[in-house]
Amino acid sequence: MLAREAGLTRVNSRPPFFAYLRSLWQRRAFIRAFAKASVDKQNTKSRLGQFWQVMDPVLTMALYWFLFGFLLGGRGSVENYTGFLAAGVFSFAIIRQSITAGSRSISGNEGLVRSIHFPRAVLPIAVVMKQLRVFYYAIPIMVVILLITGEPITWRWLLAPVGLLLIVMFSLGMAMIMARIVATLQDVSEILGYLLRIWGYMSGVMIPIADRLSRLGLPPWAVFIIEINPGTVYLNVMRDALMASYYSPGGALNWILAVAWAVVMLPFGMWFFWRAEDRYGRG
Amino acid sequence: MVEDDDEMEIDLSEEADFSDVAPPRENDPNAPIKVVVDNLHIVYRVWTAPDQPLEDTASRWQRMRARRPVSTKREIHALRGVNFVARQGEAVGVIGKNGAGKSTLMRAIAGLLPPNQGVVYADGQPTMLGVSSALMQALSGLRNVELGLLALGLTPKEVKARIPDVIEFSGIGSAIHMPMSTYSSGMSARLKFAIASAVTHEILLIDEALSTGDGEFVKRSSQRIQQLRDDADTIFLVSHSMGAIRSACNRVLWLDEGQILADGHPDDIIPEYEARFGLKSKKAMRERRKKRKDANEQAMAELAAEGSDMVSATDPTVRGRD
Repeated sequence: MLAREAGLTRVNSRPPFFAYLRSLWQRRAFIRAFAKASVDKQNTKSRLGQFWQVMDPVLTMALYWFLFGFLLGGRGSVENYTGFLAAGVFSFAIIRQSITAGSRSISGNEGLVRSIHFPRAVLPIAVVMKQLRVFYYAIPIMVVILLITGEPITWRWLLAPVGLLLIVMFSLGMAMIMARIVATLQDVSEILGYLLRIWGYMSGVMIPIADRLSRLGLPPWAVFIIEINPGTVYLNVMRDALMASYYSPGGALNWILAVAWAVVMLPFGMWFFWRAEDRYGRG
Repeated sequence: MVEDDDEMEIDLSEEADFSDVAPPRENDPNAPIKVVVDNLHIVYRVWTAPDQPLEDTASRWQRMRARRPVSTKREIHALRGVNFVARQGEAVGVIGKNGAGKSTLMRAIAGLLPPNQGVVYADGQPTMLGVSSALMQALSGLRNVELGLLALGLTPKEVKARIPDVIEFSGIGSAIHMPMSTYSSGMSARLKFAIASAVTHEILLIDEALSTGDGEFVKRSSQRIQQLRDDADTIFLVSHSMGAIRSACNRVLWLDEGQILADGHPDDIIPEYEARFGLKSKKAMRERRKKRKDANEQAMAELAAEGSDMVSATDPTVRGRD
């Protein structure tokens, strides 16, 4: 045909996967600038701006402590319940907030998608980076709570940053999957909040869930699934790293699973997102 | 109504001074092909709320029985089979009524809107001039310039080097440090144009960029467009300003209801277009304006003649008319 003879290419063709990753790397300055600009934008919106986002895990923790620790007596299930709750709530908040923000990254920036050409994965990556900036402030709060509740600083704390890195890799992969799904089916974002909340409960943000469920008579295979689900795995890894008074069931196996989930989910999310690269923006 | 609309838009061209814009190069029928648009269809799908609310008098029961869907799917067939080939050296003006599909065509050529049917081929990545959505209202103009240039694919080093030029061209001055939410619509249009036009591209799509800003900026931007046109291999320019199309383009596509109605040299197409919508040519507009002015002057003279003996000089209504 005429176009092929002249050596032309389709304008919205999807580049090969590795070429796509390269073009994404070339836009890293834009990713950083976009993330930073979104943070600053948020800070101008309300007087305390980002402070509220930092407070979200703190307030959530206070609520859980009162409901599950105090009223329902969950305090007895773990030696240092407040520390247990802090490590769980803050770690899971990274997963939850990254996925929530990432899921809206395409549908919420349709104007941008329809006016400039760039690898679309810039958007989920930038919003997840933006969300992580919140934790620059939130993580010190978690550390302070752990220290106050009597957790000693051990050599295991060195593992916490590794755990965080794995959590971020996993969350980014999930954010890209949800970004594509919500871009085509906006309704999913409405129920996503509930799903994430249920997932958090089932992963033992508030109580050592696997213990409790097996005592309630859940079949072992179901307990097993809950034990190896990424939520439980990452919470266990973080608690093992940060708390001397708590040993998660599974021990070192959790670390293997944590690495596996991150190493599988990030490339899969990237690939899944890239598959629809030429369709974003149709609305 | 439509005619009024278009007439107002065409008035903008009167403000722009295109006299020092060099005429476009003549197009060469054997030049290499740059863009091929083959049977392009674009359909927008939107979910809309019912467009008439039930009358207030309807009882709750009636409302429930009406069982109307919460929202219905509507399809807007914006482009219905567009075909053309653009070659190197062509400056293609795209004209048509509001809603004819001009902007949709630009977005589709730029690869920003996935086609529902048909294909767009291009030699390289066409770029659309427009960074409007990358801009964040809450941030200062300077931050937006930075963000916009990065979005266009410049490296941080190049961004740093070009920022002063962009700010100077926009003519925003010290307001560049204020949030964009404080800008007037003209100011932000100027800044957006300055950002978007800071980068040169091989295949460039310009959407209504000329109708932004005041007369002085329109003149400057038309010169910038000339420069972009000369640097680019092929440009597409959407405008309601026939002056801009005439001075910048050597080919015109007339779109109507998502299809190409006419395709040819501006001298052949534009008079037809103007005749179709009852638009006056530039010359006719000037004559009409002059006639209006003459009539006004005559009325003033008559009024003054009457006023000299009937109305005292202190009457504010008369003074207001000078």
